[in-house]
Formats: sequence, C-alpha cells, structure tokens
Amino acid sequence: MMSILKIHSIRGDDEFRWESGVDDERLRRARDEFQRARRRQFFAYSRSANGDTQVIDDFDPNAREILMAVPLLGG
Amino acid sequence: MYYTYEAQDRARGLLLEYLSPEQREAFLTKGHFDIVKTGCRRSLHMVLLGYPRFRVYRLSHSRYPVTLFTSSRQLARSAPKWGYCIHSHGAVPQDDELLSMKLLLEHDEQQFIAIAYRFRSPEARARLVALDLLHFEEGAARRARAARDLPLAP
Repeated sequence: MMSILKIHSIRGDDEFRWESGVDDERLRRARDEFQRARRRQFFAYSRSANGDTQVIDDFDPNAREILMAVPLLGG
Repeated sequence: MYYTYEAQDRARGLLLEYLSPEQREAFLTKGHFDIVKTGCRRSLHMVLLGYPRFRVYRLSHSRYPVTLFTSSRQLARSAPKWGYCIHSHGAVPQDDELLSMKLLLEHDEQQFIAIAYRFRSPEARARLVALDLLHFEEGAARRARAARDLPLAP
C-alpha cells in the first residue's frame, strides 16, 4: 500500500510517498520531514480510508495518509 | 503574501478532501461549514470564522453547531459577543489555514481556545460603552438625590 505524507507549505502542500512496510530511502525521507515539521510545531493528523482523522504524536509508517497542518498563533 | 493559483488550487483541493460530504456541499454552496465538536468546559458554542480573514467569533446565544464563515457579509449579519483572533504561523494559502483550524477545533478545542487571542467584539464593546454611560448617568442622579436628601450639618 502506498502511503503519503502531506505537509502544508507555500505551494499548498508538499507530498512525500513511501511504500508501507518497505524500509527504504523514501520512508526515511518521509520520517525526517515529519520530524522536521513537528519541530516547527505543525499539527499531525492521520487519516484512514473512511476519511476519519485522528491526532498522532509520532510518525506511523503504516498510516495511509498523514497530514501536517500549519501551526496556529493567536493575535 | 501572494500565492500562485496552483498553490491555492492545491490548498482548496486538500481542504475539500478533508471535509465531510455535508461540509463540502455547504462550503461549496454557502461558503461556510459546520463543525460537530467534542466540546469542553470553555466551549466556543458557536464560532464564526471570517472577516478579517482569520478572526473567529464566539456567539453567546447558541451552542451548536459551530459554523466557520469565510465571507465578511455572513459575519456582518451576526452580532457576536467575543472575538477570537487566530492565524497561521507560516506562509500557506488561506484554505490550508482553514483546514488547520477545522482540524484543531474538531480534535482539540481547548488548545484552540488556549492559542487564540480573545477580545470583546466591536459590537459588544459598543453595547458595553452604552451600558457604562447609562450606569454613570444613573449613578450621578443617585448621588445628586443623596446629596439633596442629606441633613444639614449642625
């Protein structure tokens, strides 16, 4: 199953794909990008096939889709 | 900040992907959508997101549903009591911000409230000023009456 990480950006969003269950460069890249976004306070959500979303704290290599939503500020 | 049409299209596509069928239909036809929240102690009751772009208003008279408005006209028709100002900490198209707000409201409203800056909305402030003036006038009249009724000092 192809998994996808979407990160909000100035281009709308950036996508990183990897094959679920395959430990390769694409998975490492996605994990690095996830952690980089987490350090920048992005919110992480995992979305299942039926469209339900849930908050995640750590990178899930078996997730179908992960969205890193832009952090919010008050003021 | 200006974004390319492609970026805005991608952000709109992603937002629509994450909306439920009902939310999507409402957003495409009316420009806003409702959110069913889990709720918390300081629930926002009803939220209007709109003009200026990233303001979220809390209404005092209704609990559900939460409505995110994206047009100033819709917001102008309401008379909110409290305003919440929140915006993204990064350069992303507006629809990405809207999606981030929607997800945060749905999953962690308490954090949303904690992040947002709360202020009294202009309409409510005007009402408050009028009320203060009324109280001031009533107070002055009461003081004048009391002074008039005071016994003279020996």
